[in-house]
Amino acid sequence: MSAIFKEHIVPNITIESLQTTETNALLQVLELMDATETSAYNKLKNSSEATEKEVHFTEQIAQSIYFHPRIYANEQEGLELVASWLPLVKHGFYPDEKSTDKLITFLYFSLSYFNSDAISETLKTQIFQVLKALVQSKSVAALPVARFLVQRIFDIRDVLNSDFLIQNCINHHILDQTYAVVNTDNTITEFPFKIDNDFIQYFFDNNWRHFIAEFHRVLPVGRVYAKGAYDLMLPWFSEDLADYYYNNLSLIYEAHKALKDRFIFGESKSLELLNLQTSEGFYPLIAGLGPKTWDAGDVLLFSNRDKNIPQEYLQICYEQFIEWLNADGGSNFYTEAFNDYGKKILTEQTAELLPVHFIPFWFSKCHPKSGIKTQTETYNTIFSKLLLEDPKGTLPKMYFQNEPFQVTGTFLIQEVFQINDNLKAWLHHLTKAGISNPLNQFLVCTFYDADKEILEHYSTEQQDILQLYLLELAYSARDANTDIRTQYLPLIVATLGNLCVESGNFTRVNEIWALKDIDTCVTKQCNDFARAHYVNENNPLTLHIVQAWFNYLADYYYSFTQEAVWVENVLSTQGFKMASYFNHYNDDVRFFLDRALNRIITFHRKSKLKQAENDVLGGISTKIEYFLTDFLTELNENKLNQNTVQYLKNYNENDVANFKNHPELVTAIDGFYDFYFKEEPQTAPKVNVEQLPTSKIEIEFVEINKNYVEAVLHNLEHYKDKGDCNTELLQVFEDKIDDLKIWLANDTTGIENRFSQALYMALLDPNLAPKTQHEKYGALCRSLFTHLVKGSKMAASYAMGLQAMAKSGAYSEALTTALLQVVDQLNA
Amino acid sequence: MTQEITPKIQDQLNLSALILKKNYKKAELTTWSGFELEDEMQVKQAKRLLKLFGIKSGLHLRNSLQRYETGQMVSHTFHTLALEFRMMTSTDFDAKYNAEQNPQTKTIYKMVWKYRFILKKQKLIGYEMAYYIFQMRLGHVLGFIETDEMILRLEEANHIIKSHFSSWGEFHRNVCLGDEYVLGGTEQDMSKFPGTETLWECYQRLHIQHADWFKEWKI
Repeated sequence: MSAIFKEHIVPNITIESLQTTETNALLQVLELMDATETSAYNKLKNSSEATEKEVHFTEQIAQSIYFHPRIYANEQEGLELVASWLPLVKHGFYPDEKSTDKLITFLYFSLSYFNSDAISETLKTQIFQVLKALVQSKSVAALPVARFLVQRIFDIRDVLNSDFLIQNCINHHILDQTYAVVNTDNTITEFPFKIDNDFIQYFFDNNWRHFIAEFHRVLPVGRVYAKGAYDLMLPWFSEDLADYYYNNLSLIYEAHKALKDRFIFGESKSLELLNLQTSEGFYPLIAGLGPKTWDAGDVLLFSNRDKNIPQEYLQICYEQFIEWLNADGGSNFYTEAFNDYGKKILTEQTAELLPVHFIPFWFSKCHPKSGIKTQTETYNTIFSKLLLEDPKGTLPKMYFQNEPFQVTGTFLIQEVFQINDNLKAWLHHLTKAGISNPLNQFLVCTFYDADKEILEHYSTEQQDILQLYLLELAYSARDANTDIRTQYLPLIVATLGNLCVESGNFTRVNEIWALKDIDTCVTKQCNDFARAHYVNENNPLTLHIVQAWFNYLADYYYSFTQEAVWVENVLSTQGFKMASYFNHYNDDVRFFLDRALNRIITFHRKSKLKQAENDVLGGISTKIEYFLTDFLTELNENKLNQNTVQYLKNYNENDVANFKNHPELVTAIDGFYDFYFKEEPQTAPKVNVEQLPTSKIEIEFVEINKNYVEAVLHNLEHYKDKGDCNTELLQVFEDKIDDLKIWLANDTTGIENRFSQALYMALLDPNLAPKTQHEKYGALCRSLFTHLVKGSKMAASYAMGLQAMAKSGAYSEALTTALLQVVDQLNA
Repeated sequence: MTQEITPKIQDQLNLSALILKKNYKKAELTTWSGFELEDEMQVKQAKRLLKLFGIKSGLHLRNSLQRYETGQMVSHTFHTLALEFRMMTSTDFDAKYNAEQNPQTKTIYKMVWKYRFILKKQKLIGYEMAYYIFQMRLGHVLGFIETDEMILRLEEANHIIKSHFSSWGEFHRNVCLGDEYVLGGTEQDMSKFPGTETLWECYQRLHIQHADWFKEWKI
């Protein structure tokens, strides 16, 4: 039995005028208090009626037990008294209203003493157990005690006592269950500890505003790493509180401030309050970050948001985050807030949740020209992880206009980059960074994704800039690691393929084709690209392409068919096409074809010679034979030069390399040969002249015609070999010089020049000099020459030549004189 | 697969020895490329040279070879100029020479005038084919071309050179002339290009180090 109770309460118990039920109650009290040895108990025991069992703990009895203001005068005794009540309150004997008020008053004034070391821990525990029983009781004592505790806790003027109460309330679970309110009709209602209208009514005079202000004030207060008011109130957070915030933006801002303070002073994150949810599932405190300009604290708060918050609330917050990162020239990058929390906002995410605006942000931060070196590395790491994770090179899904959105190349080109006038400068700086730079990787994905549409977005000039940019990037892949190389190189080549579709620019085609040497992963792609340009059924042929075919035949051969692989397609499929192209070609292509066939046959020959050592090289000759068969069977006969035909025919006669395995080809060549050398002999004038029976010509009736002129010409050109100086033939011309001149003037085959030249050579022949056997022939030549050349364009040149020869000293005096005469006549 | 260098191939590779030495003093002439493929610095040097020639890939290399082989690099312009000069009298030439302002062009005029008949057939094919082989060897450093292909092309280059020239002396003279034609002056300004050697210096060194290589002109 407690000493205080024994000394001060028991002796003062009045037992007179008690109802039986009251006596019973008092008896129970004394039994509970272990005071059965006292005289009072005996007296009571004797006076009670054993039959009556009912117990009634009336207000009067309550006051006799609980109402002792005198004892409260001594704080120590008062507290001991309160502690001694434990068995009673546990049994359900609660103080009445009057005693409760007195108790509250006493506790209020003695709180500091209660908190001091003078009170033993046991006693403190006992007192708090009493308080707990009272708060949880369904009695008039419940609400006042609870209200006392709440008010003291919120009173941060007396922070020591507030904390004392907080700690003990938490330890003893005093304020986390229910409180009871006695209604006017004496019924009792129990309420859970939740921040709702009832709570505000009973504890804060129905003033929400007041509560919120107090609440925010108390939040940051407390010891570091220890529990505080926030932890105490944690179970109280309710949807009602959230709803109240939802309607008051300014209160949300105040809450943000309180939370930031709480973080700064207590290093606690207050996640539950921050992620408070309304009955409709709305997060007012997080959403409240949207409409305001951020500071470092907001970054912290946002980084602690609940991961289940629907993304549409967050998009505007991300925009604010970007604003914050851009503010003050990006200096927020260097803050602790960014380092510890800002990065977290980005790294914990997948791109799917972020707004598209991060893409331009990234580019502005990391562009080699505008970016700040210390920042680019971090941003690049973050964003390349976010935006470039997909190994297939597809663009990420993101948020745009508050909707999930699949980012596309077209969208990026049109909406995000929007670079029209300074594409070259913009890309120039990026080019230098190479494909290892994530921005370039992203751009590659962008252009790749735009696919063929890319041509619509850029002008021809810009397309060219893009091609150069991509080519540079491709080469930079040589220095990049294998993953990057194999991932992006195919995309680059594909994009270049889309850009370079116009046929004709073979320098560019070759540049793109050449990328195949960078990595084997693009070899096929590049070769296919080149094939599509060099061997394309849809594009018309040009002489350049045909020339290129046979230029690359060399590469095809020397590399054992490993390079210029499309040449094989040319050889197997393009023979007919090439023939029909030349058949319809209006200009004279004989020279071109002569060179082309010459080159083809050069390689045919090389290949044949190597056939024994190497199958691959030998195989090329077969392919060439097929090609030539296709080509020559289709080609019109008049398209080849006679010499070319002769060359082909002779080549076939060769022992080592020939077309004998390929009868069709031999037939085709024979066809050409017959055309030129057998079927139309008139095209071979020599034969005609040989057959001309000069001796039978009746000089008098000679008519100047082609046959005759050619016969004379033949004689002039061949008199040396045959020793046949036919003066008679020349004599006719001497007589009919005017006819001859007219005939020559009308001739278009160039006989006149040949004639002059032949005569000139004859002039310089010492065998025809005066005073020799053929003196007459020589004289006729000089005469004819003078007649023909004088007055022509060539006169001066011939005169100069003759003069030089005459003065060279190589000739006899007679010939020298004769030549100088001719010169004089020409110059006259 | 890297093929073994037979004496015959060595002889063919030697056609580029002078040019190779000129471009890279430390070149090891008895290897395929002349560069030590394991040595990063040497590979870097080869890369630098390839960049100088604008050779970025095997395709670039082969196109360049084609240009050398067909005379598009040097011989065509030489030929055109020589043809023009062959038709001129010495008075015409003097007039043209004196009218020219650019000293480099003047040097070229003088040279072409001198050789307009002598090199009518050969042009500067010796120089071009030496470069042809040299560039193949460079390309081999970066794997643009394999030794199989080099052997095939070497045969061809060898054939072209041997059919135009009749001795090492004649061939090397053509190489030197080509070099002069392309670079202008014979002597480089040593203050501008420290550490570089003239072709003539390379020529002398080469003949001291590998005297027996350049005696017999194997057809």
